[in-house]
Amino acid sequence: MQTYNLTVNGERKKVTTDPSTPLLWVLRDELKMTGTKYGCGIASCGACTIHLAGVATRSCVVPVSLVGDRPIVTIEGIGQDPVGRAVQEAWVSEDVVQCGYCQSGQIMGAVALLKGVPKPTDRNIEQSMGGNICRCGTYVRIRAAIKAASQQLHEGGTR
Amino acid sequence: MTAAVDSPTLALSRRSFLRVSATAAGGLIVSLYFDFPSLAQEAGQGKAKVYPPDAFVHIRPDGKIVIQVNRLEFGQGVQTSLPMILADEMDADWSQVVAELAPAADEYKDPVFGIQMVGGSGSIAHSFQQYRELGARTRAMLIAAAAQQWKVSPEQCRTEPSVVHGPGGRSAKYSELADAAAHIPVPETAPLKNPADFRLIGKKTRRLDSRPKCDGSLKFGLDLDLPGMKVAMVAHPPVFGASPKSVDDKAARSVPGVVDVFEIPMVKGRAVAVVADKFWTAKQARDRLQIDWDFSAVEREDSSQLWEKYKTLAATPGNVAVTRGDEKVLDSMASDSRIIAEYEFPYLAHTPMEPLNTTIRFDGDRAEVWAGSQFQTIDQAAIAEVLGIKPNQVTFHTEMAGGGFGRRAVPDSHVQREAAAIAKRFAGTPVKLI
Repeated sequence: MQTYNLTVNGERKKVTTDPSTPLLWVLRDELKMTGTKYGCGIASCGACTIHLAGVATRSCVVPVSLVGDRPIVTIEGIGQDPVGRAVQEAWVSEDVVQCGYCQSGQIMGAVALLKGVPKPTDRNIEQSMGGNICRCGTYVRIRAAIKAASQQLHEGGTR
Repeated sequence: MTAAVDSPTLALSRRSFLRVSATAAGGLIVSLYFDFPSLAQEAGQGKAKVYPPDAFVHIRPDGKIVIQVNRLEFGQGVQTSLPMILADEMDADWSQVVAELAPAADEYKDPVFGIQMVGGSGSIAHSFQQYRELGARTRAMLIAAAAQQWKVSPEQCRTEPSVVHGPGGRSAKYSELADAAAHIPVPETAPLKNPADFRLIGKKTRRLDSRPKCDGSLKFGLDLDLPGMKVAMVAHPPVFGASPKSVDDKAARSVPGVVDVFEIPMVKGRAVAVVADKFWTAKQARDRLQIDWDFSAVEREDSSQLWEKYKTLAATPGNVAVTRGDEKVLDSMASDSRIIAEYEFPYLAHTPMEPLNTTIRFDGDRAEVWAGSQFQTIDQAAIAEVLGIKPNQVTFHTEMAGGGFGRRAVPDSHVQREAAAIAKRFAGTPVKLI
């Protein structure tokens, strides 16, 4: 057992756990933050995507011992960020979700994309988001919502 | 009797109930029930059924209208569409509608299938009329309550979303009328809207579950957390029907936080369950199990043998399902104008995004279950059977589910049976099987 000081959505969190525990399970079982989803456990579906120092990361395969002092942002905190807020709003107005289980990861992936590529093309979106699986098949609406969020952010509309 | 019925079950004689109950917050809740009496009761046997505290509609003092959805939501949108139907007929303010997934209970059985389930794209087809009537009756009672208060006839009143208007500019909110409406006898018939007057049905609206699915606040079955809860994982045999010959669980038991390791029966064969304080402990322990499997009871036919069997069967004349046209025409066709092809489709191993899970707390003579179940009636009975109690001793909560893809529509309820076999050993402690 080891104690770790983590920064999650801007808040300091102290966690004592086995060093091999994936960050996903620190969030879900220790911090009771269940917005980040467990899908495959082998970094193949993207449901567990979070931001680690701003980088979209599969939290199911990152042991807590490797997090260090890098700040963690999850779906619960992404709305504090202007890009995150725009993406969440676009997701709602485009009615993206169906079962919704993959959507925390999709939104975290989309926010990371828009921060790197503010006006993504279809190809940018497919390349960047290709690892986030949606079994309901909401990909067309995901693409539309990313473009809507991009447009909203660049036209500076107030919502 | 209702004016229109669209299925044999709905045509059964029915009594309707209203109940007023105090809420913890001190307000009043109007609960509307529609009772589908069992045949035994119709024959004069048995006592009145014990109902859950709410059935389909609650008008809360704060104006929120809580509508129960009698099916699992797993992406298909029924948690929005069925409330739309009821809210339209009721003339409820859509912005105040809250949808809840109903627990297992007789009232929530599919009017056509006769069990509580979702499947076959039957939600709207089977429950459209049912939810319209529920809404229409609720509206009629609210109008009757207003008419009684204002000493006018119900015909002089009309509704706007969540408001009854009467003569002389009088009006009252549904939430203000709910208490009085609870004392109005449920009308045997209530007029349904002319489709031209629909405010919601057929109109574009947004999913009620969108926002909580976009900010991480929505709880799926896997997200359930109960005080003292343990997490279970199962080492299944690598082939259907196999059982452990020997199990070395020393390394598994040495993982700090492991509570127990034991064999459980499966529908076919046996498996090894690990119960621990949390997921990562259970996962590590399960991965450290050394199991020598006994394959003697496993079916011997393999995929290539099955393909050969299918090919032979496909070439063997069978029962005629339907005859259209004259297949002899084919024989007279020139061979170069005929295309003959064989198509082989592999077995599709589906899985939803949310790993299958079920949480059970067994208390000796009662159990409480939380599951994203597509077949509540069947799963509830399967759990009861494993626990040695009756289905009505199993309180069954329907949890939001992350997809299904056939894996939640399993007649043998294998996940629920395994969860029950595990929970049975931990009376009083909730156990979540992942």
